[in-house]
Amino acid sequence: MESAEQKSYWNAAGQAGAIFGFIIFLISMIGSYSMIHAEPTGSFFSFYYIAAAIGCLVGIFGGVLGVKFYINEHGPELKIGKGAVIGLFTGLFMALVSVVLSLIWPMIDGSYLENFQNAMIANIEANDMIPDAQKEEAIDGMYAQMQNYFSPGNILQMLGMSAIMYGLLNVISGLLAAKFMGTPPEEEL
Amino acid sequence: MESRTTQHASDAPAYRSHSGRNMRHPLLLFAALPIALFFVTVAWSPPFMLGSFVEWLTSWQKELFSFACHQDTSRSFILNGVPLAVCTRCTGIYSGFFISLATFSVFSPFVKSRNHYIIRIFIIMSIVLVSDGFANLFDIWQTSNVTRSFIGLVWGISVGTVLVDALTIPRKHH
Repeated sequence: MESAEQKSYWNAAGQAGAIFGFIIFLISMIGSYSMIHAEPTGSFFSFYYIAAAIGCLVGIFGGVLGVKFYINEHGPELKIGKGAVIGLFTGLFMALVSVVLSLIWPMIDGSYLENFQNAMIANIEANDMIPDAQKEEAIDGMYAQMQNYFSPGNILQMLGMSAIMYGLLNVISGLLAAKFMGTPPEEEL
Repeated sequence: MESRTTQHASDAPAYRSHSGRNMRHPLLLFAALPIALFFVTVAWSPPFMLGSFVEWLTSWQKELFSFACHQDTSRSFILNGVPLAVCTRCTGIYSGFFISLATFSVFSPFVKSRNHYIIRIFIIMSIVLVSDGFANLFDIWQTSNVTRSFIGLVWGISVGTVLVDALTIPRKHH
């Protein structure tokens, strides 16, 4: 019989990460395009930001799916700690897949970045909370950020931020999934 | 009999101090608590680390939580002219999550003795949180920032309690 140490979780984490990475990329794209095609409101409460929050909420279930795949592959016996590790790696794969897709998309839709940048700038210009003197500074900062979209620094930042967020959140969901979907390993009896 | 005892001890591997008092699951102390502390610290940090609203707009704290929160400034607590990194509801969630983990990891017998209610409370609070969120989103009703943060706080506490429950109460072997 396969011992707990021999059971690999890479397949489960990789599959769940790829599926949820694609889903959160899709949700963020829906948010981005809805912002591009909407009138600037000046509020941060646009569908773009709501889509980010929805993407995160959905993304938490990546760890659960990772554990589910592991159980389908190897049976329900797993330690809670292994559930946490599966969740962590699922989150890291999700971050990787969603960032790679975000980098590929502007090559498919050549006007995406420019349209998105214009929508963001229009939204800042319409924002009443930012004093006029600071608006220019904020727009310059945003413009510089978009110009450096493909720079190694920006890619690393996107990857790091999403890895931290999705990785850590999925540690929690993975260990909860192991608790409620798994059973203690036989060899510990 | 021997194996049954071993199963429970190994599934929830509580540390045992010299006095024989059960300490917490290592995942609680070395994973869940640090993660919760990290999130709550970063969420509250902008007003104490940044000088202006424009700095906040391009800060790493805002960037980090942009994956998880709409960060609408009209729905965020603002201190010294700088908003927190997350909205009021998320501020409540992260704060409640950390408070409950920190509290109930010390007082886990409280959770163990009431674990029948914990999942029910979590489900009820989830329904309240989602209902209020969607009602605000679709303008069915508008709750104040304080109410939103309170609902988030209670939900965060219930999530933390579920987590302590998960890590301290041994699973049944089917």
